[in-house]
Amino acid sequence: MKEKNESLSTTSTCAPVEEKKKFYVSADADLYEIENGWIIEADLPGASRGDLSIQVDQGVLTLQAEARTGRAGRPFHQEFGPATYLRRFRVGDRVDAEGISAQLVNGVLTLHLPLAEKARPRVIEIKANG
Amino acid sequence: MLFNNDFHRSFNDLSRLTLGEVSGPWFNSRRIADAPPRLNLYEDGDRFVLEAAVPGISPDSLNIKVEDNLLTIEGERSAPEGMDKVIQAERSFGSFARKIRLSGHVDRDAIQAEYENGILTVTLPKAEEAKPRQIEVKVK
Repeated sequence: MKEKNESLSTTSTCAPVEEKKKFYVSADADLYEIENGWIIEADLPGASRGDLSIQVDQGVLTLQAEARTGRAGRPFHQEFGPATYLRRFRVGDRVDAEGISAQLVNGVLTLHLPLAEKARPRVIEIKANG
Repeated sequence: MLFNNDFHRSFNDLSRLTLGEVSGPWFNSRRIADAPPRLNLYEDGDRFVLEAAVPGISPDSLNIKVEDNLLTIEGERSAPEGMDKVIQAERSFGSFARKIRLSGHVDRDAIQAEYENGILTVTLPKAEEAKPRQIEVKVK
């Protein structure tokens, strides 16, 4: 488990971070290991499909989304607002970037990250000699 | 806007001054969510509008009720099944309830709720006697 954490890990913190003078909110995310890959589930309340971008560059998966919330009127009590979610995961070369699939349902993003072919365990056949 | 917990807490303190009370998690025998959903409450002329960030919740499992001025939102979020090997867990699952004391009575029959992209929006029209009204000044 420790080794997996090192090869597939999150790089952002939970607190909002300032990057390029813009404020981002770190989306809460779960990471699960499944057979031949991983599943990431991230909460992106307020984000729709058009507001979401997912990219993999140099072994880092970045997901970013815009959440439009907020109403007219006087805010009486406020615990969230319009936000840009940003989250990065270091996936290295263990994930097949071409095979990643994504689904956004009810503000929850599910990413399926297949294990790269070269990272799959393989059985070495021993040839009988003579 | 910020999402962190200090922000949440400071607004809860403030809300005690303006609204009366905002409660935390509800206690019962089921699993209780670590973090109850975040709420926004607006006053927009003749109505209140409540927003709740409840991603991944089936709208059927949400229960909204108003008794006197007390608005309660209850629900349950189930954890994904078959995910046994957890590497990192930050999201909250289980049952929750939050209550907000509204500053005026609402017309309970006219309450409307919508759910989109994980945000629940509840529109609560004010009761007739709570609506702002123009007072005519009579000149003697």
